[in-house]
Amino acid sequence: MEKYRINDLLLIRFFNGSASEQEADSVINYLNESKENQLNYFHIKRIWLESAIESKDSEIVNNSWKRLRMRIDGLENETHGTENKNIKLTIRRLALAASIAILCVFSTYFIIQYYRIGQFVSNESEIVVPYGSRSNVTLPDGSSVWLNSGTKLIYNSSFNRRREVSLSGEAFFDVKKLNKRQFIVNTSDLRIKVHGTAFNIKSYPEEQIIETTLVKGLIEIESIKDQGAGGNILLAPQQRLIYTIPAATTSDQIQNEPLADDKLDDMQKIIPKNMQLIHNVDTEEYSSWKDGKLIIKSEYLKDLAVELERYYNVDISFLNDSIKNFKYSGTLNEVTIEEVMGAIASTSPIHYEISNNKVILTLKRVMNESNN
Amino acid sequence: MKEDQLLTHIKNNDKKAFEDIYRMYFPLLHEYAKFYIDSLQMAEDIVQDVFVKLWHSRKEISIKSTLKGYLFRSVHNRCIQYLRHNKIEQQHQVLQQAKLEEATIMNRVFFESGLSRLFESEIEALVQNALNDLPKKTREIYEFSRRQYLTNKEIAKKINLTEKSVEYHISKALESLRKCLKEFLPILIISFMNILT
Repeated sequence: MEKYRINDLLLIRFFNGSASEQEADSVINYLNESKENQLNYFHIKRIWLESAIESKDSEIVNNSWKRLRMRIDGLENETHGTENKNIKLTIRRLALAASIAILCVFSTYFIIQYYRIGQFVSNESEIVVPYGSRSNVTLPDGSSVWLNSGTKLIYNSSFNRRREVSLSGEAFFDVKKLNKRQFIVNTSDLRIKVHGTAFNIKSYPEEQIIETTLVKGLIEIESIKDQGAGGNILLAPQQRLIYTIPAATTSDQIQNEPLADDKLDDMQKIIPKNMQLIHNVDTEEYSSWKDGKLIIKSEYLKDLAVELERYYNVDISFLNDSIKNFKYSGTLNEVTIEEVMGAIASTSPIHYEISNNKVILTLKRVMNESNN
Repeated sequence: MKEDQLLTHIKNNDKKAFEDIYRMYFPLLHEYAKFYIDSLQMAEDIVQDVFVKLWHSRKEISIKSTLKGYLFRSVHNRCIQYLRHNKIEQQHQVLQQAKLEEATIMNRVFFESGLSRLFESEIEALVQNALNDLPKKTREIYEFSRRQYLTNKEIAKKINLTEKSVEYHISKALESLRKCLKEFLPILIISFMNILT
């Protein structure tokens, strides 16, 4: 009870904005700690809100209502008569005008950028990690990045001014918190904006999905192609976002009105259809590769093979399609491809052959036929 | 329910019903937004935006939960958007970031899982009653802190008490306020656990 009281007072400081930065952090930690804490927090917040409200006939409410009435009447006079159709048309026109304006601004920006790059020629640093190896780099701002096999990371010489990198492949970022300075990771389809946090991104060009898993802190994910569609998503720790890259079509079907509030009834709808948010994931599972560990949790052999190919820089082929759907679980700790295959062969009717970075898998029963 | 009727009235272009709803919910919604938004004016604008939208789409709107739940969710979403888009210019980066994190958790825990019961109006009366039942001094101190946004230090100075006793009174006030919400808790905890495990 005593402990809770201390929290109550701290929470109140947080509510009225007089909490220190440290205290604010501890509130967030408290919230992340347990469900009970979240409920307790909300309980206090609810009281806090309720015990301060004005009566509905107070001066403040009267004035506010007058302002709202003016806003609504003003809008209605403009579109008087033809009602909804007209409003929609106006909005559409406005949107069109806005898009043209934005387009102009952007193209100017890109033209300027283009000439700049032309003048000073490539000030980019590029780090490429080939298949079969992994690497760890420290960026100029002190942030650490672990790069998985077959990954490319690009950053500009102006990195110290603008913390922005481009990524193709898989990387684990431990971003250093610098006051007021965002850190941005661009992938083929998503832009991830962060402050101080640790997270994993998997965005291989040959895969149809981009996976982002947050270990700590907070990150914001924005779809590059549907910019302005309100598709920004906030990821909290232990959450994982799976984004499916749309098949080369336009994004017209995606809700373009970010505040279609009536549609937000079910919060899932704030998340576009091609994204899937998973809560309470074991982040270790998605970031252990950086420590040379491979955690497999009931994965199909066909998916596992893709990972192993990258991890060991080998080429895996199946002579029998049926084995592609075998499922495996386990943790591989700094083992060789031979050991992995040995483990697979000892737990399932699979025969393997390794030569010159090529692995051939066959179903044991038909082994003889296949070898011919 | 009464709320349903109000919505029906709004759908029939009844501006009086609309005003009633605004007056009924503006104070709490405004209070809610003020936590996330530093500017009082901006917090009010955000609440108004939601009502402007409600009025303009009154014909098509269909609300699955309660009207109050819908309004809270809408205000909450707009606050998140505001926090996101203004965070670079904000002075108090860390606090802002913490609020954004809080908003995300709130979203996940309360709105996503339909726990908006916590916003239902029966609670209002309970809290108001509990406030009235407090000893005079305790209530006074609590209201200084709550309505006039005084810090504990300022209150201590104002009524000539030590900061420690101010804190004591505020804790006392919260304690009895929480008691009045207690009867809601068991139900909530059960549904809460079901949703999250």
